[in-house]
Amino acid sequence: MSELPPRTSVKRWLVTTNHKDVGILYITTALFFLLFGGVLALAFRAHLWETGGTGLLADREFNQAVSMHGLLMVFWFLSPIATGFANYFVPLQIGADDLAFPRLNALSYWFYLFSGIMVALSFFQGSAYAGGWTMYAPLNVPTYTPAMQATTGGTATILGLALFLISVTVGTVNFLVTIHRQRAEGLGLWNMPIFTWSWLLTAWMMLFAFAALFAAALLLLSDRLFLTQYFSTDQGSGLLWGHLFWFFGHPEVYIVFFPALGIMFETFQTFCGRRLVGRKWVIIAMVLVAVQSFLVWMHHMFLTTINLEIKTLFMATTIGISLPFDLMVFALIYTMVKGRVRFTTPFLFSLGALVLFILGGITGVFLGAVVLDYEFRGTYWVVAHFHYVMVSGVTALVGGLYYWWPKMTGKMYSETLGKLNFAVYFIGFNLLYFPQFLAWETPRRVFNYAEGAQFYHQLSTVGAFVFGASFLIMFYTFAKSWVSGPDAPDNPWEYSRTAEWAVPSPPPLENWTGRPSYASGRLEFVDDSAAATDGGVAQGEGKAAEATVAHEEEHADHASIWPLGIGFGTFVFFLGLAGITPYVVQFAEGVAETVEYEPTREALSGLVGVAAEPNIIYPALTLLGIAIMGVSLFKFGVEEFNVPEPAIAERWPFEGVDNTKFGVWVFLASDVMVFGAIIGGYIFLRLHMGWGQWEKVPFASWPGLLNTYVLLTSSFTVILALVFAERKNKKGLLGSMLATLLLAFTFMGVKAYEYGYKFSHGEYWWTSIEYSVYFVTTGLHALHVILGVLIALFMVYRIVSVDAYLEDHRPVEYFGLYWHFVDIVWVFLFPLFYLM
Amino acid sequence: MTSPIKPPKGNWWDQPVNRRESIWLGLGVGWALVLFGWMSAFTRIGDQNPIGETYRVTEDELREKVDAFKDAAEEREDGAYVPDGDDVFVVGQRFDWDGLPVVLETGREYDFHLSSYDVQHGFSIRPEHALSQQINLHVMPGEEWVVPMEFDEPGTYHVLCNEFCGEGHRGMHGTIIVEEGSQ
Repeated sequence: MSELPPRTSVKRWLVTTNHKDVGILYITTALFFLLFGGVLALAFRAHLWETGGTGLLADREFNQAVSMHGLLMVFWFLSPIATGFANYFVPLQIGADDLAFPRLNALSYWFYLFSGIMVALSFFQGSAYAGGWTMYAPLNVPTYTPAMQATTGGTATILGLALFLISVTVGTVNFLVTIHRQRAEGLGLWNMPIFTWSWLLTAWMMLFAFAALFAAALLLLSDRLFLTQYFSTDQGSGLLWGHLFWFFGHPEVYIVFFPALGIMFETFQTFCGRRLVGRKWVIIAMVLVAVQSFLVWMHHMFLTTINLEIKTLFMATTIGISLPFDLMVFALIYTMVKGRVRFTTPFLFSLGALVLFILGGITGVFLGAVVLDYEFRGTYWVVAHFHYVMVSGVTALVGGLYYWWPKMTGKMYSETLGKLNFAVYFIGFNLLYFPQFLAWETPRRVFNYAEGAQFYHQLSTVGAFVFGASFLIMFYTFAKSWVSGPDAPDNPWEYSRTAEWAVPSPPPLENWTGRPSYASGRLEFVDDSAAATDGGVAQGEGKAAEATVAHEEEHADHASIWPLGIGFGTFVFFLGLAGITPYVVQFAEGVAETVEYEPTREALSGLVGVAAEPNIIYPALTLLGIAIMGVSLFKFGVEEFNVPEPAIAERWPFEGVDNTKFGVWVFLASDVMVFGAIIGGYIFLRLHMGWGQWEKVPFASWPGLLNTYVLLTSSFTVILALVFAERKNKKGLLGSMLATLLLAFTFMGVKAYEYGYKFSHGEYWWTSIEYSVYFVTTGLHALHVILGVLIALFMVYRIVSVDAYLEDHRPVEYFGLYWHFVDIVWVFLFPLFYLM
Repeated sequence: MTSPIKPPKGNWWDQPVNRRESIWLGLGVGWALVLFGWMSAFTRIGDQNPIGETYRVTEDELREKVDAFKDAAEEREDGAYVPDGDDVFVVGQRFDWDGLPVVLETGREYDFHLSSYDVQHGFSIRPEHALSQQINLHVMPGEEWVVPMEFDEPGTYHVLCNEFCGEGHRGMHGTIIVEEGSQ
């Protein structure tokens, strides 16, 4: 579209879609959230100076500080800084020009930034979420949060989390398409650089794990905003949340640790001057961990009432998952043994990370045993253990920052300062966390401890400040390098062999001069324009000039303002939603005064505590947000944005589909997970109550059956649309799209009739758990239908205005895939809600 | 060495494993299985914290049961309950433990009925002299968890809440007073 302004211009950073720029934005923002979460940690560490607290924080502030420290560090620092590295270096390592969908990449960044702002703002809306980072039910519903005087603030935190999850999903789809479909010629999966491997597995884990958390967040938000009852009852709510949260929560550990591991592998290879020992087995081990990570979640629930047989099973999978990590640790150690080590700053950080990870990993194995967990859980043993693991990841990530700093900025940093940084970091780290092992009997989540533990806690607090200071040294080192560091060569590390070191520091906008290729077994840059003209000098000047022109025309776009627009609109929309609850409460209380149906009246008293005061700003923001989103999405849709798909690339095993189609499939896979979690939640709650005791909500099965027919017919009309598009028949295409729309409206009409019938009998979504589940699940499906309708309307507009899809019918197919998915979901919902 | 990052020559990963290495590997695997079996078996038959059984319960039923327990128990001057039989009810609510304080005897096995009226709480027992954690369980609304427990040493045991339950979480506390048993 427009030209990309220079890096010194603010405008550049608002419109850029280039993967290197977005990477830098990610890394910078993540470092900001590191400071944010770190300052919270310093505050409560200072408060813990003596038992009972020094009075620095009130009870509620302490709860907020520790909850938000956990949330910010895990979601807004650890994952995003790794995403930043991946953004910058994965395309470079695989020889791609950019990510597959550059505008979506910018969009996921803006979602991430605004989600962070949203969470920060929640501190100013009564109180940020204060019930622990695990957000256990039923403490997480509005009935209990008014006691924290924070319906709005707490809701804002969770909305921020949901926005972050959307950002992750968008980013994940993008990375999976990029890595699977845009690798340079000859770069098979086995030969892929190991950081890219770790990120590929991270992305696959994120796709499924974050979808489960997204489902949980949606249900929680429906409880908080609309007063449904998923997590507010004593009918299995607590366990349901536990399952949903930890199904995400355990893979999350590897999601944050894998990129760090990838950096450790890369730096060990570079600074030991030695190929990673057992490289193939390391990759196999990582794949194993990625799969197994979804089979261990219940070890976080050993203290709940789950029966012993299942706990034992999960004890086995948990102990088992440590084995592939042993292999990786030994691979790293043997790489050092076999190589010649150079103790540069990045290597020191990676080595430090390895040492800390070994300690953190071993102390975690104890927690895998059920009976030991009874004793350890909820103590500082756990706190120390997972900080040793997670912050060992941070250590490697800081190492990555040093490793890639010359590449990203073109400047060298001072090794002396870097080593000083490492020394202070390592001492501070151990001073901070090791005493927590010694004071392990201290209970978590309170600030009282036995007298004897005071010395250790004071050591720990001192350590926290030393550790914090090491980051000041880091920022100083980088600032100094930025201002007055010597220029970095292309490859300052000598033995590094991944492709990012074969281009200038910093790399040019288009990354490569010539097409990177591994066809000969090593990295080469092929000049395709010369090859096209047979490379002959005799061909004359004219033809070469033509080829250049043709190349120019294919020039990729790098600037679009609309990702920012969509991100901002969604932010405003979510900010508005945070304060909707009081209006819903007013509505529900109005209903309760007139309604005759007894349960609807009774249920309300249990659901509504002291809600926040209604504030007209919030509904206004909601509407404004929808408007901004609408305009931006439309502009985004009609914008001309050229992203050439590489003609030659290694794509095994996905040669058969194009980028966008693969992206749609990947997105649908995550949506399957969302619906899977929500339908799973329904089945869980129903089994908990007793399958037969569950009240069937729809008044009859015929509307469901009718809607099944309607939707199946609409699948057929979508296929017709595709056929007409292939035949370049505009009328036929238009007609079948309109027929699809008509059927969708019919579906919505029947749905509205059903809902209306229920409301007229005084039955609402808060009436009982059965009603909540029915309205939320079918409502989420209806939301999918509405989104489909919006897409279809846009497509109809494009057909009428610019004769779209006649030349290239593929978008009709993408829409068809989505629409079929929505229909298939209904085919599951119909029997589950209407017949059983 | 032309380039140190080239893989070593030949199928170095495919060479036969030394016999002594195989023996050690075998021993390692065997020992791992023994440890795991031990760990699992100890949960069931060892002298360990027992697991107990869970029953579904509504809040009203639970309140009735706790009231019945308190009525049947003898109430001492200091407000502590001396239970009538072997059943002890401890139910969390924001921000205290219903059913506590309670007076128990050493050497006698009690059935602790653990649950919550409102949100999830953490039931953590710590003896006063060391404050070391003896056991920690999640108590959840709607579930009555019956866990057999026996105290070996007399003294005061503190019951803390170990999961966030709201603003007053820090002060949620009860005591179990254990006296020398008559047997």
